[in-house]
Amino acid sequence: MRKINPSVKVIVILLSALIISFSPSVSWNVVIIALCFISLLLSGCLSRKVLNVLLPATLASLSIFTALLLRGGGGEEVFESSGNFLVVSSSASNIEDALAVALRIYAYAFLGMLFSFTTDPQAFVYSLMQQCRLDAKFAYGVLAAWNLLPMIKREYDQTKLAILVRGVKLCPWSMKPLFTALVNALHWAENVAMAMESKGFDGNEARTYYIKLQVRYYDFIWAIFMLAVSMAWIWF
Amino acid sequence: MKWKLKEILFMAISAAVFGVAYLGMVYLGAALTGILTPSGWGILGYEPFYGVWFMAASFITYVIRKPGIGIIAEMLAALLEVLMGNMFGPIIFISGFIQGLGCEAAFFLTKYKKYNQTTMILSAVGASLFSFIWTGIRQSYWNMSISVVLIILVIRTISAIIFCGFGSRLLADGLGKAGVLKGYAISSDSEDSYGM
Repeated sequence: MRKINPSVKVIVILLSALIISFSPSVSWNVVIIALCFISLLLSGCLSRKVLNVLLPATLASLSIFTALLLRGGGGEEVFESSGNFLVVSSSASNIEDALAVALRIYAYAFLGMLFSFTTDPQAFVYSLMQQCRLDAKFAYGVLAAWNLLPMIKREYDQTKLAILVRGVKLCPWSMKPLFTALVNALHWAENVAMAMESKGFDGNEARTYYIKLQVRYYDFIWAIFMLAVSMAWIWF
Repeated sequence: MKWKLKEILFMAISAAVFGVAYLGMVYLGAALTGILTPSGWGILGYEPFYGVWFMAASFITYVIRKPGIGIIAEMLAALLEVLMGNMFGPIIFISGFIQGLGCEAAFFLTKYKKYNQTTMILSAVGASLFSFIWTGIRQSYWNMSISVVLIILVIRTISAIIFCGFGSRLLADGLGKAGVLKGYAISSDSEDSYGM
């Protein structure tokens, strides 16, 4: 998975996510989940991070599942028939619909992990620039912002500390340190822009690249395979 | 349309900060969803936070004031969020595009001339409506009873108006007073308010 060209990867994953948005099938969602799981396993990207993603995904899919069951068409009657109301008032097709939508959330989550765990952000931006003709100004702007993120985090922590040192009480959700950090980050944005321009950076000329990324034959094979699997529910 | 490097970096950095905030909202929403799920109302868990997810588009459009910037900014924030590990994955590019489009619609209707409170609120409502249709497709709203769907729409729109309509504007005006927005379109339009 790590070898697949990042632009191809993102386009294919986007397309298959779009296609399964309209899919009513339970089994094909399971197939996609399994496929992503195996790819993650094979590329050695399964770690604790997966749990971080799956926990909210589980909650979201559970919530949609129960919402579709309990608040589905004619939701009022459901409340009155207490006890084992799930069995009483939900027809089989209702449960299947709900299950398909709930599993779809998982499929999204796995497709997302397939992308974000196996792709190097830097390579992704380079590839967008070389394969998708993203404007160099945007590409390097995004990279600058991405690499400034840890500094913004540190700035935020420092501001918070500075406020605490002065003996001002802060509630955990206070916007004050965030605002100060944002002010400093915007100062940096200006300075970085000025620095880039003074080094002669100009997004309009043709560039040469140190790291060259290309689309190869296995990118195509993988793309066709993934899209075929996500479209399979139309025919079967 | 000519972009200044400075504007692009401004957009990228604010989008990065909003990306972090978005990710935080995902976990907050998940927590609320967890609390509400046993009662069957779990689907509402994310709705109160929806406004935050539209903020990048409305805030950055309000500051830079160029056609199309809302869509780009929202997609950029989505991109950075994906790189940090959002559970919904690349599909939120599309969400970002649609939300940005909704935000942009209001500014488009005023021909990118008016940047006042009314337009901001309109853009918040636009983003809410557009994203409502999109999540409707993804989560099959037609299978739910009409009252639940209406509640979703109402909560989401109120949240959008609070965070985008008022929040983004307050944030931008506050940053303007702090003096970091000199040289962007916002400060040339309202010179009198903080004497530049």
